[in-house]
Formats: sequence, C-alpha cells, structure tokens
Amino acid sequence: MRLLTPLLILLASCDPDDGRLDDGYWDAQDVTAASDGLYVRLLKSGGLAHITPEGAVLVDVGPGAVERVALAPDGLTAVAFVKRTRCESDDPRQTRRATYVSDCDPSERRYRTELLTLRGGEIEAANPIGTHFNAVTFSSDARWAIAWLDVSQPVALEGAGVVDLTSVQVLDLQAGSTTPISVGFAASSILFSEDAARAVVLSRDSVALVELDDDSPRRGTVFPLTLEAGQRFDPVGLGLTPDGTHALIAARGRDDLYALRLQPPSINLVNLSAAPAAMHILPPTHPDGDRLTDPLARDDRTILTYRSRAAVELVDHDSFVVDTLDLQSPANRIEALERQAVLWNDDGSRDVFGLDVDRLRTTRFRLQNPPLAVHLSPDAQFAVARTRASGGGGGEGVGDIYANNPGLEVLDLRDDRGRTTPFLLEDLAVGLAFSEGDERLDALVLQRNTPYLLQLDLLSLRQQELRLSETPLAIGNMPSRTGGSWGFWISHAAAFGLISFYEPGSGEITEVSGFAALALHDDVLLEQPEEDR
Amino acid sequence: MSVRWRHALPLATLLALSLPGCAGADFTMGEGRADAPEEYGDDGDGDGNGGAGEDLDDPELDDDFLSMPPSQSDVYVFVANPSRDTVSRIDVFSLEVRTAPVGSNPRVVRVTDNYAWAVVFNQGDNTVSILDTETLQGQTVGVRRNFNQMRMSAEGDWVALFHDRDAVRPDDPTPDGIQSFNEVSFVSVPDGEHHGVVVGYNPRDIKFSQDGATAVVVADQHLALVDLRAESLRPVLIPISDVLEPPAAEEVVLSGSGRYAFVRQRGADAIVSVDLDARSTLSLPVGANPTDLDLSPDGAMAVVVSRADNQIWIFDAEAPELPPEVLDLPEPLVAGSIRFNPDGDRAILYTTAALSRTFAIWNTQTDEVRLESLVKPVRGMAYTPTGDSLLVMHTRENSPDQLPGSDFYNHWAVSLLQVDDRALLQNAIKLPAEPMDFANAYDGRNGYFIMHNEPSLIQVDYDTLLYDAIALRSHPVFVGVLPPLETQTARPPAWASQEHDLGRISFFHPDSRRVETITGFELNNQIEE
Repeated sequence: MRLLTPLLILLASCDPDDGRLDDGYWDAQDVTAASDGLYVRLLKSGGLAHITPEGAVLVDVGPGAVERVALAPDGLTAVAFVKRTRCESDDPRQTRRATYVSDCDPSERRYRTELLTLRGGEIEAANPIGTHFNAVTFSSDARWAIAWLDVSQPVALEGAGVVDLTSVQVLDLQAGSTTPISVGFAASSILFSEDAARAVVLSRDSVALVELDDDSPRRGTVFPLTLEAGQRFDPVGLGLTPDGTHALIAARGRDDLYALRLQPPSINLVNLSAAPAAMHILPPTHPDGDRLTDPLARDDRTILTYRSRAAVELVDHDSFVVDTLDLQSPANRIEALERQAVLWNDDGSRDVFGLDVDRLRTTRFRLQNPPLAVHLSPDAQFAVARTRASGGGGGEGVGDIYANNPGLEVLDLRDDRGRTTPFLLEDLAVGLAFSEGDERLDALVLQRNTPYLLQLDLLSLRQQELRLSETPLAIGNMPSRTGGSWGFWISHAAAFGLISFYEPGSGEITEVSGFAALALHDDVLLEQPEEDR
Repeated sequence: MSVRWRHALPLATLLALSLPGCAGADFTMGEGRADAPEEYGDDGDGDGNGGAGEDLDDPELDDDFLSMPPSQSDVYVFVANPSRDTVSRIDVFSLEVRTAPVGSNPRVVRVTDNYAWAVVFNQGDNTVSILDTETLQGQTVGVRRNFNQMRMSAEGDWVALFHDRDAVRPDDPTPDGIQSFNEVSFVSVPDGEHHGVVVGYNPRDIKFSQDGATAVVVADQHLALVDLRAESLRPVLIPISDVLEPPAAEEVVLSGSGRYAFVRQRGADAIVSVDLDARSTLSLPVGANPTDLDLSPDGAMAVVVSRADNQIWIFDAEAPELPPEVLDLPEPLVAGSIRFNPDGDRAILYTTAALSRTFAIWNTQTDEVRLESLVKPVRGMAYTPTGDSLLVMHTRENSPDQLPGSDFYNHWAVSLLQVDDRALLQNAIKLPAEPMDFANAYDGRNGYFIMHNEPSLIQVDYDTLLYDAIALRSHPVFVGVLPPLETQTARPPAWASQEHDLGRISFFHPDSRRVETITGFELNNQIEE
C-alpha cells in the first residue's frame, strides 16, 4: 500500500452514507474507471488524479476546474470537461495579483471550457466547447463525441454568454475538430449508430440525425414528433434497431412507440396498451447473416413495460407487431443483458419477472422485500436483487425478520421455477459487482457502514468476507483492454482519498491513498493572460 | 305473373345532336357515406316502426355505397389532410409515406384510371392540385369560387367542378358575398388548363362521354353540352323544361352510344330524352312518380321505376322514341330502385323509401319477377362484382310486420345473398352499429365494410357468405380495396383509414390475414431532409 502524505491535514466531516465528503477533497462515488486506471476529480483544486495499483499521479490539466469526466465505449478513452477562468479586472495590477478564482471578483471572471481527451493519464487533445455543455455521448469506436446540454443535470450558465439551446457540438476526437450543429430545442438523449455513421439526437419535440460519414458532420433528416407547438417529449427510451434502419422512441405519458425509419425517412406510431415506463432493445440471437434481413428468422425485439398496466409488450422490428404478455403486477424497470431480461418495479412491489423472449413466457419471482436494484450476472444465469427493509414486521416470525432488515436475494434464472435465495444483510447494500472465475460466479457486495466486502458465490451460495481497511462506499469493475475486467476498484470513506484494487484471481488487495491532496492548493487556479504565460 | 305492354309515345320535335356514352368517377361532398339515413315515416310512438302514413312521394335513398371510388392507385392510397393542407401518399407494400403540400383545405383526392395523376380539390382556396402520383410533383390551378362537387372523366383527362345547392355542408367555407349558381369549371388534368363556363342555373350533375370528348351538365332547366376538344370551351344549352319553376333534375344517364341523355325530374311523370346530336328533347311518360332511372350494363335499355304505379318502363336507349315496354310488378312489392347485375340478365328491384322487407329479382330475358323477403327493410342493395351475390344494407328502423324482441328488431344489419334461379341463400348479420362505408375486392371474392364508432373492419366472403371481424386500433372512417397488381401473386390488401389526430391507416392482407398499421403519417410531411 502506498501512502502519499498530504501537505495539509484537514479534518473533514464524512457522511459515509453517500460517500460525499462535506466540503471534501474528493467524491468517492465519482470515479471513472478506464482500462488503464481510475480518474478521480479533486474537488477543491479542480484537478484530476489518475490512479492505478502502482500509485496516483496528478494529471496536468492546466489552470481550471475539471467539472466532469466521461469514459468512451472503448474503455480506454476518457474526456474531461475543464472550465478555465480568467480574471479581467480594470486594474491590471489586480489582474496580475489574482492567482485563484476566489481572488477575482465574480463580475470580472471570464470563462471558457475545454474538452480534454485522456489516455493513460495523458492529455492527447484539447477541444474548446461551449461553457454551458454538461454532457457528452460517444460513438462506439470513440472517434466521435457530442457535447450537449443535459437539463436534467445541474446547469451552470454563468459566463456562457448567449447560449443556443438548439445546438450541440460534434467533436472529431481523431482530428481534434469541433462542429456546432443545430438539432432542435433542448436535446435530451443522444445515441450513435453502431457503425458511427450517424448520431440520433432527441430534442424536445423532434429527432435530428447528425451525419458523420463524410468526415464533415452535418445535420441530416429532422423528424417531428408532434404537430402541436410547444408540446414536449419526455423520453423513456431511445434506441436504434440492430439493423440500424429505425430509431425507436418511447415517451412518458404517450401510449405510442415512435418508429422512425431513417431511409427513406418516414414516421410510424406503434400503438401500445399504455404509456411505457421502461424500454429496452434486445439484440438478435445471431447478429450476423440473415437474422436481421430475413423477416421470418429475425428475432430482435423491443420490450416495454408499464407503470399502470401489468403487462410487458414485445415489438418486432420488421412489421412492428406487438405481442402482449400479462404479468401479475406492473413492472416499471428493465434490466437486460443480451437477450435475457428481468422486469421489476421500484415503487414497493416484491415481484420480479424473468422474461423468456423466445418462448414468450415470464417467470415470477417473489422477493422477501422490495428491491432497490436488480443486477444481472454476466452469464445472465442469475439476477441479484438488493432489497430494502419494507417495515411493518412487528412479530418474530421469519417474515417479520426479513421485513425489518435489508437484504440480498439471488434469483435463479436457469429455469422457470421462480426460485430465490434470500440473505439478510447487516446494512443496506450500496454497491454490487460480479466476478467470474473457474467454477465460480461471485457477487461482490458492499454494505453501508461495514468494513468488508461480501463475496457470495452464486453457484454454491457460499459466502466469504474480505476485510477492508476502511468503510467502502462504492465498487466498480476495472475494465480490461481486451474486454471484460481484470479486477475491481473500491472507494472508501477517507478524507484524502483511499481506493482499493481487488484482484479476485490472486485475492490480492492493493490500496492507494492520499491522492485527494495531490494538488498543492485547495482553490482553482486562474488562467493567466496570454502575455503572462 | 307479370304483364308487359307497350305504351304509345306522344309526338315531339327532335333535335339532332350526338354525344358518346357516359362514364367517369364522381365525388360528391355533402351526401357523405356516413350520413344518417332518412327517418322513415315515424308514427310518433318511438318504436322505430313506420307508421301508416309513410310518404311514398319521398325520393329513394341513392346510397350507391358499392361504387364510391377510393382514392387509390394500384400501389398507393392517397389521403387528404384538410387541417394540414397536404395530401399523404402511402405505399401499401413498403408502407412508405410521402406527403405533398396542396392548396387550402383539401377535401377530396381522386386518382385517374391510369394511376398517373392524383387530382385534389382544395375547397379552402378554390384550387385544384394535380400531382404526379410517382413524384408528387405538380401544379395547383385556380378554379371558379364556392364549388362543392368534383367529377372526373373516365380516362381522367378532365375534372369538372360545380356547386350543388343540395350538397352544402355546415363546415363549407362561407361564400364571401359574391356567388354564382351558374358556373362550372373544367380543368384539363395533363396540362392544368382551366376553363370556366356558364351553364344552366343550379347544375345538378355532370356526366362525361366514354371517350372523354364531351361533358353534359344537367341543371333544372337546361342541359349544357361542352365539347372538351375545343380550344375554348363553349357550352350549348338545351332546354329540358319550359316552366318558370322547373322541377329539380334528380338524375341523368347517357346512352351507350352517347347520343341520348335521359333526365329524371323530381315529381314529374315523364322523363326527358335529349337527342344530343339533334339537340332535341322528347318527353317520355313513365307512370306516376318515377324514382329511379338506370341504364342496362350493355347500354341497350333505359329503365325507369315508377314507384307509385309499381311498374318498370323499359326504353330502347338508342331509340327512345319507340314505345316502351311496361312491366307491372307483383304485390306486395314496393319498388322504387333498380340495380342491374354486371351481365345485365338480372336486376333487383326494391325500395328505400318505405319500410318494406320485400324485394324482387327481375329476369330481363324472360321478364319473370320473383319476390324474395329480407330480415329488415332496405337502405341499399347491390350486386357484387361477379354478379353471383348481393349485399344488402338494412335500416335500423323496422318493418311494420317485425315483432318487438325479434332478432333484428331495432338493430342495424347487413345481409349477404347468393341468388340463383331456384333459391336464395342468405346470411343476415346483426350489427352493433351503423355501417358506414363499403368496398369490394376486384375479384369479387370479398367485400369489406366498417361501422360507426366500431374499431373493426368486417370482411365478408361472397362464396361462403361468412364474415370475419378484423380489429383496428381506432374508429374507422373510410375503407377501400386495392386493385390487383401484375407483380403480386397475393391478393391485394384492403385498407381502412381511422380516426387519429396524426393520421392512421391499416392494411389488411387477406391471404396472410396480416394487419399493418401506419400511425402518424401526418407527421411525415413535416420531415425535413
């Protein structure tokens, strides 16, 4: 274990419940795991730490604050939003004296934002973007990214100047170029086609295509979603059919699934039985060959569930025929992996349903307590539900014991018998990851306020506790460059940073700490004028 | 047993004029296939039965539901979107939707018989849009103001528009103070050239000759002949009535050769034969209260049904001056309407102005008239395309002899009939709602109809007389069947447009029984490429 001694020792309060350190130096929940290490934002200095089992280094992002980090689908490329502040005082001496943002009067601050492309903790490119953008979506090959304003996230418009809420910024991460494109008011969802030839942007009342195939991004077809001015779409789901011919949109409060054929462009509304609560596109059994072009062999589907109706509907992608399967209770959430899906409800129901798409059947699993989250194992043979205490258990029976305690339930998806194995936990499960090994399939569970990692073998149901030095707050996979993952990271409630790396094969745990104090200052540096740099 | 006798004609001055036979597709706004049927002689007790005071002077209900041409080509269905000032074209096989802007408030789309052009009447701005059905490119042409009717010639080379006073709808645009009731607009479809002409007061209908060279405009006092081959269209008026307040011209048919036009006027006991070559007229007595006038399929006979006298009067359509043959019809038949089968060797006689369940089958070769009985009174009847079957739309009202509580009492119904010389096989179907629209498949095997506020399309099989209900997503508005396509072996689909604020149409493929629905096609014209 390596320790980095901080220059300043500060006592900070710690709320281990959510990992957010009040006025802290870092956020244990805000960890971006790339295949070559973790990126952790340093909250006071605005810096960025790159952490591996070998240690932590400060990424030289320059003066400014890293506001967010996002990982591209390739698992290696990360981008960091860096907001740079200059102080433009009427008094040049004042300007020169100001070192940190707090030294500059707010009325004299000027902002710009850069998107830094990172690999291995090194900056590969820097692209200016609009200061108001707070989200980014990547193509699967990580060549393209689109920066956009996600109004469901915190929005900071100070210093942004005149903001065009109809535009996004398309970044060519290879060429290092950016292109603003008008796509419609208030973009809310963006996705790329599998071949990265185009992006689909859902805005308040329209869908715009951004064409990328000739290296010069341009707006393509725009599909209206309503004929009524001012009517807005609140998407439940946005996806592309596996053959790339249609964009599918489900919206809150509407009982139609919008099927937009991209070429030649047309719009068709598929009538559903209610307004959907969740949507997921299932891939075909075999993505190659005739599966996608032969209507009779094609088996990719969109599944939709409803808050107000106890049913799941499956829509084929050829004729958009709707098959309806009744459930014993509504399900408003879908967890899916390849062609396996489980359906559950987050508003107190104890039902979880396994969905057999090929046989058009469902299996009901009845849990002891309502689920907080449901996780599918990598082989889709099991689902693990993190449950909360439902309360109301005033007696001493088994049911009452479960009702009064948080838990974990293992759902066996290998058959249709609806078998579950419930476990009582010491405290609420706040993180879960899966680890596959030889003849083992482990669920790694973090519990609130408990300084160990619970390792549960789903095949044998044997448990093991892995002691940790501090209370863990979050857990995630460490992606491998060749796919899959080589281990796990675990963040802890430690004021100056503590990350454990766990490698299941060897059982080894490596800790890296103190990285939150890497920066030698606890304020964001100002960008100096050009002539002074 | 029927009696056939000859009736002597009065002498009349004959004028020489020639006119080919008539044909063409019509659209009439204001009648509406969804219009409620007339209320039959309610005796005031609210039981829906006709009272003793049924007025047989009422006109027959001309519910020609089987011949209403759909707006379709061989692969496309065209839908006018009045609220968007657009027309949507839906490819039935690929489900591709394309939309083209047209004039204001398009009310009707008609496709020419060769499927080359779609002609749109835009009532909001008094224009006609002519679109190439493949490219949807075209032009919009101004016509004279305040029209509500459009007729298309057989080949589709011409459309004619006029104002029918009896077809005014509550939602028609309000005339802006200046209005003529004598004008007709002719538009040449291939080149979009407009010709406005003045004809007789209050035109009732327009017929085109088979070759499309001549149009006949019938008004109450005049027939107007328009030579469509002329560079400048000039109507020739032929008086058909010499009274100051002429009776309304209810019906006009053209003989097969096109030489003669026959006009039936409301309340008159004669029809007017107009020799369009000689430009002369001849009044032909036809018995009391003639209520229907029809031409046999071969064009040889012009037949008048005289309801009050319960007779049919049969004229030689190419020699109307010859004495007619008159056939007395047996009681208790009340006949006011006639429909020929496609071969012309049979015709059905029935009435829609009285609550009668009796109809007759007239063998035109032997003059035998055979009476048959239905489950309910008739709202409309027609032969199917093969002539082997009949479809009957019934009234909801009951005949006087229907007992309360019987199967069809106070219900809508349709009947499917198979007729041969020996027996009548029928399947009477009770319906939950009023049937609104009907269409037949071209091969005569199936028919389709829809009902008011019922989300289903009903398919009937004319061979088995059985029916099937196909569920729709919302209430249907119109129904149609596509013609057969040489490149397709499967039977062409039927379509049903439905209520939806963004547009909805379903296609039913009879061989696979698959239903494909497009919803939201009105959004398609807003797509920006």
